[in-house]
Amino acid sequence: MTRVLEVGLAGRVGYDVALAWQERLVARRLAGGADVLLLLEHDPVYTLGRSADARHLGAAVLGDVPVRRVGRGGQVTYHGPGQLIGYPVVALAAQGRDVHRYLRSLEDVLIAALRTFDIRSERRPGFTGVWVGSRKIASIGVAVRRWVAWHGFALNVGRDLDGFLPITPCGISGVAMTSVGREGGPEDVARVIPAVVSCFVEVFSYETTRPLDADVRMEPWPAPS
Amino acid sequence: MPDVNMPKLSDTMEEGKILRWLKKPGERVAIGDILAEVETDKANMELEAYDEGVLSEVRVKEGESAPVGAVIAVLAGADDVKPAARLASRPEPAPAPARAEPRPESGREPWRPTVVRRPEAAAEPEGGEAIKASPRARRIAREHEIDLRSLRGTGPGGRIVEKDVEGAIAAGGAAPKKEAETVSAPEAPPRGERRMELSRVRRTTAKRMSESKREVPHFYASSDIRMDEAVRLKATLADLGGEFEGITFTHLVLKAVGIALTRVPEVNASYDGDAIVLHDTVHVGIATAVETGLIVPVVHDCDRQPLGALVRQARALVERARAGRFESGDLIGGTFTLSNLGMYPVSTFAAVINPPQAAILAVGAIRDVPVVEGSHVVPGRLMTVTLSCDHRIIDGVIAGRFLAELSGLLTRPLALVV
Repeated sequence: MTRVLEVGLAGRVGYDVALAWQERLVARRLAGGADVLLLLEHDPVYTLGRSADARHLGAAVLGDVPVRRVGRGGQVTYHGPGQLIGYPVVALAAQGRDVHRYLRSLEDVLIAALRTFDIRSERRPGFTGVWVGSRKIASIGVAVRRWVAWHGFALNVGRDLDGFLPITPCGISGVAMTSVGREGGPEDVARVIPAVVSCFVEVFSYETTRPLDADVRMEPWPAPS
Repeated sequence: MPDVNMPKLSDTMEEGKILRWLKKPGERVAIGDILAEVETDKANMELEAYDEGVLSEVRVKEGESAPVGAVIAVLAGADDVKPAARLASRPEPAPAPARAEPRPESGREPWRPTVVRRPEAAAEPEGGEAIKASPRARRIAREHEIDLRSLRGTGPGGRIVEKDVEGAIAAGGAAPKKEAETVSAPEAPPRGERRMELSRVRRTTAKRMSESKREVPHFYASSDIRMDEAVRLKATLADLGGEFEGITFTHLVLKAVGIALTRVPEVNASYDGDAIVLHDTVHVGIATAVETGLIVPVVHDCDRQPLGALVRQARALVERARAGRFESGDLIGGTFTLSNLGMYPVSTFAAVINPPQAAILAVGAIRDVPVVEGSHVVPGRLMTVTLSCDHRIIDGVIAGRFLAELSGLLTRPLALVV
């Protein structure tokens, strides 16, 4: 059977809407549908993993940006414009039913994609995510339902990282964030997408891709300026 | 009895953390139901049931970890359960959860006793023969109207100790439920009067409040506190749910009071004849209206517990209080009291001190009022709090310092969460 990845480019989407899409795509995958890579940008939002310490929200609790408690692993993070969000809905049965290996594979995808922009990044044992030196460029947190993974990764692309200022990202105090733009790569989310998709296909060994065929509302990305 | 094991979600997984249980002991479980959420690294896995039955035991609590393969819960299979249920002729076949009550305080002195001598308490009971009881047991018994003569002491030489009194309270000695019907119908009430027999809770309140007003020289200090940021904070935390589900302004004030009491410890004190007793712990009672009157369940360690834990503890406590199901320790050990009427259109009031505590805080409603900022008048949200103090040991300056701390904490409430 050909391994197909359906790719959805959803543009800018509110967190709650994207969450509802994911729920539907997980149900569709459990019913025998294809694996999906949903790529989008979020309106500003702070999210906390189930076990996150709300104290890491810091001053964000006082701001106008909404805060959401979500069912993924991990701590507190920020999502907003200028960040590429990837929500892969993937059956782990075909990947060896190993959630740690899946997390490491997501890191591999982003490390490979960054390499195409001449950015050297790496993983740090014990600190899931992708790092450029001591600065964090991408966060990862997933949830697994009946061996179908959802939630995913957030890759900082634009130079503006102010959204992270009030919080203690990932529960690690003193962690500095960086972005593709700040490390000398493109500052536009749309320009990063092709590399991320092709590295995702390669790392997870899909044979073919096609546009997402699901009844989720999709708005095309604005053309890169 | 099929065991539920910590699943191996990865070759490199050694242990997993239970984030939450979606089934409770006693609940029926079908194959494919989600039992729990398990976390390993930055992945959450929904743990499915592979057997059906009744969840009879949860061995790993939320927030705790267990090695891969460890038994984290036990399912009583449908076959195991039915005959037992018939024997016991109970509709609910769930065995009692074998969960030990958490004792977060063990190993630590829970509360420094406050010895307050009062003549009537020290008096020998009529009957001539002295009852042997520890001062602390006497005090708790008096606070809860427990007759010491009805207790059997387990201390040395049959001495009644604190534990005996607490046992009596837990066993319903102070349970207001039994006295729910307070309306008695005596012989032909004259001209539309009704005589309501006082509940035990009400009688205790009546006695203690008169005592307090008679013996304790009260003075009062009020402060208007800007609550604009606190209002936003509360809304954000309420949206967040989780441990903040059901958060109220009482909880925010509770945390602020807890911190302020550590900064001005003179307010967290008791008068003891020739001494001031300063309490090392900060246990704040919340005046709570119940069907039978007023009771004051005590939230322990308001200074040390993070806000989320306080919300949980306070909610559980008030719920138990309203249901009349106290646990031993729920009503004792308070070092300060909070009385909030902010849910009513009460802007300010002064409360009566709950002896042997030295102070009580009365909290009014948050009002929209014009406030002056620099040279502008802007809309603001103000809450008036009034501290009633025992002037034998608290002076106006101390009250002022306490209110300054409290006001600072609530005006810039970030410190309550971080």
